[in-house]
Amino acid sequence: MIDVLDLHKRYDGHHAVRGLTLAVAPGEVLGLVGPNGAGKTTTLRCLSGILTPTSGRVRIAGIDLADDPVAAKRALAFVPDEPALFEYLTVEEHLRFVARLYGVADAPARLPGLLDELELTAKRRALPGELSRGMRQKLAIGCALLHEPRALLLDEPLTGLDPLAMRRMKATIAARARGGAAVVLSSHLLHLVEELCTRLLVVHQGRAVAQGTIAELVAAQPALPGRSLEDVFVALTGAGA
Amino acid sequence: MLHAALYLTGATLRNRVRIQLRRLRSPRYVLGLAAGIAYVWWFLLRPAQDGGAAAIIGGGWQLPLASLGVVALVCKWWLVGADPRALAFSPAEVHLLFPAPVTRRGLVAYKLLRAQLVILVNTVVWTVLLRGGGGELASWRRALALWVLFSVLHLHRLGAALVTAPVPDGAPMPRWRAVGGRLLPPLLVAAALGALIAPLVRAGDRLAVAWDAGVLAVLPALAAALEAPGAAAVLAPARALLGATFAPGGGAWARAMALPLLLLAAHFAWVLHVDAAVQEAALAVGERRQRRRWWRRRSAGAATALPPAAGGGSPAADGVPAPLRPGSPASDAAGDAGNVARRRWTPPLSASGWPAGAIVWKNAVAALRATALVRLLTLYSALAAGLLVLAARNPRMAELATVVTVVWSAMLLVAGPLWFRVDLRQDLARLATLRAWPLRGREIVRAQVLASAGALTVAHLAMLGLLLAATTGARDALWPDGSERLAYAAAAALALPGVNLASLTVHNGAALLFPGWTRPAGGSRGVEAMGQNLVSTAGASAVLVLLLAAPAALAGAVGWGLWTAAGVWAAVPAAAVLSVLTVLELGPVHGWLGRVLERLEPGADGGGS
Repeated sequence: MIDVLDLHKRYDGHHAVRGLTLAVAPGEVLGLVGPNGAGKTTTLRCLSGILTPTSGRVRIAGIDLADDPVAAKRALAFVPDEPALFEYLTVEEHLRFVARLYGVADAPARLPGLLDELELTAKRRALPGELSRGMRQKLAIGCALLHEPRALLLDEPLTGLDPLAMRRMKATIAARARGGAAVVLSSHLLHLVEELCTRLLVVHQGRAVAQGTIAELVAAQPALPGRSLEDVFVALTGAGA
Repeated sequence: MLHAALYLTGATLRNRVRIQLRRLRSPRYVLGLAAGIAYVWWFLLRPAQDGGAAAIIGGGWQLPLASLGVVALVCKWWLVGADPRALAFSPAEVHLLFPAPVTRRGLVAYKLLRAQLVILVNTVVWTVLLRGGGGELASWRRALALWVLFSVLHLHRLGAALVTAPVPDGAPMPRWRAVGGRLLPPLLVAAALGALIAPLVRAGDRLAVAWDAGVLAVLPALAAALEAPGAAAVLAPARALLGATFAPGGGAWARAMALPLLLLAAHFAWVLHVDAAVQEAALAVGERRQRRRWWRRRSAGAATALPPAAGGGSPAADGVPAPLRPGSPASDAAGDAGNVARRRWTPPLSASGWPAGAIVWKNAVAALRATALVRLLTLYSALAAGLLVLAARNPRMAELATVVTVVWSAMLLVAGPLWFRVDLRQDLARLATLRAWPLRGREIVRAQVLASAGALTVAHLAMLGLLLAATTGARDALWPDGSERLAYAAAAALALPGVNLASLTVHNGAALLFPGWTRPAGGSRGVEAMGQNLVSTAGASAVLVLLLAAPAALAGAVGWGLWTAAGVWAAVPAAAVLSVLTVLELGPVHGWLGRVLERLEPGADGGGS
């Protein structure tokens, strides 16, 4: 569903992503982890078509992002770490706007259910400025889910959510994966990654330093028998040095 | 607090100057600075040397009319609402000052201190402008008088904003304040306007005679009419405030300064008192209501250790909501708990159809909700309607209405593309979002330009309608007769969509191609930023002329060809040709700008500049 081959991204003399290759199948949740500045956000922005890769190929649902960006973008959704909302559109209007943009013909019927799922029904006429940080994050996620994307890219999706909302959001993401979406999420919350992701990709200084299931990653570190994902992360990225 | 505030203000000023000096390493800012200095010298300093603006000092009619201007400004603040920015604290100020051990009065005093930066700049500019006028009055005396004038006006605006603005964080107002705050200002403003308008109506004949003698004869006649007891009483505070600025010499200045200083002290005390009385009472009421709501929910069994599922407020860990403070988590909770789901009118939007139509719709909603713009247009419309009613009864008033409408129309034509910015210029700050949409760049550009051009054209057509109505009653031979007027109006109505599309394409294209040259949302300040705006506006105008040259030439040919047969009505098909050709010409331009948009990459903050 998401295929990335030898992705490079350079800007302002900085080589942010260096030869990343990955594949995410339908139903899989890939966790993108790495220290600050590792290139996680740049990778997700390249995958979503926001940034143009310096070299390499990105295919979403079989469509090459460089050849047919519009068709590829119709199949994906990206949720940035900081919700980017229009301050003059209400919650419901954001969803209606996205519905038109992606041609979701049955949106009027689906909106109430989605608003309920995201606990935004009571706030449907509120402007973003009248919402808390967590509510704005939920709205951004709602906008991403409305057109039922086949590839879901989430950058720190649980930032700002309270524990209960976090639990519900995890359930929502897992449900989308079970429904056949390929999910890539970046997060610093290793327990979330451990709980939600079927595979991990550890990036450091723009390079993939490890890839596989958590068990595979732990097993690949014989010097750390029986240690936690956090210890493995520190060993792989040198964060503890 | 005073030392910290002085340090913060001084450091801000120092760093701003340092940044502006550092900018001058870039040729673009050097060019901007040169253009800015040339503008200031040509339009402000040179006329002042020649006695230009200063020449207004010393006559008898200036003081009443200037007082009328001040009273009109104050009425506007109370009736339409003062600029809420007068109250605004920056996020850094909220983050650092609100949790600090500083009283509310200390915070307001800090805001007043920060305002001195702008007040001092205005004082210097006006002192230079009025240099040499007003007899023997020394510049430093006039500067002091102007400083007091601007300080009092700033304090009054702040006080009006404090009284009329909704209380922050959705906290409700006490009932006495809600009712009094809504009713009292309009009643007082209506009484003041009545006292001012009544003598003008009574002096109608004298004003009509003066009008026939020319505009310069009208001004003294107006001033004389405003000497009537009722109007004089309304204008008295403003006259007292302006007296020292208009004083002819040092002795008169010294005598006239006492009242402005008294007004300054009174305003300072009022602003501090208003803030303490209104904001704290409102916040206390809001806190009580939030606590009552939370206890009601708790007693109904809806609240548990975690907030209810329907997105209610998040009670503090001890089970009682924390006191409401701007910017605190508890105030966020209050916002969540408050009934913020106000009804807002939205234009309809179908879920299917041209996808980029969503952008046009979004920008239309933004234009409708730009309250400042809507308020301004409403105010202008009300004034224009009033003039038209008067024009129907009096041909001289029709002429005045025509002049006023022509001036507004010209302003809208020239500055409209700069005012109507609900397009790429606004959305480039969210370039990452734009790039993620499943649309081609050319579709995004086209939809963005279409939205602004549509809004601007509606405003232009409304103004055209007013102009048509105003000239109907005017007797002046300058204006064309009925049939010709209709022909020109129809031609203008047909030409406007094409011209506006071209104009806004140029402005949006400039924002895409030269993001550093276009006025950012935050607004750079300084002479070099002003010069940069002048250069970019001049550049955009030159490109617009080039863009319209070929369609205008062909339209001119059509008009010339049909002139013999249709006369002035030949302008109508010519205007249609102009619009159609311009739209056709813009197709490839939008395609090219779309490709530029597709190549433009957002920065780390998601913006494109």
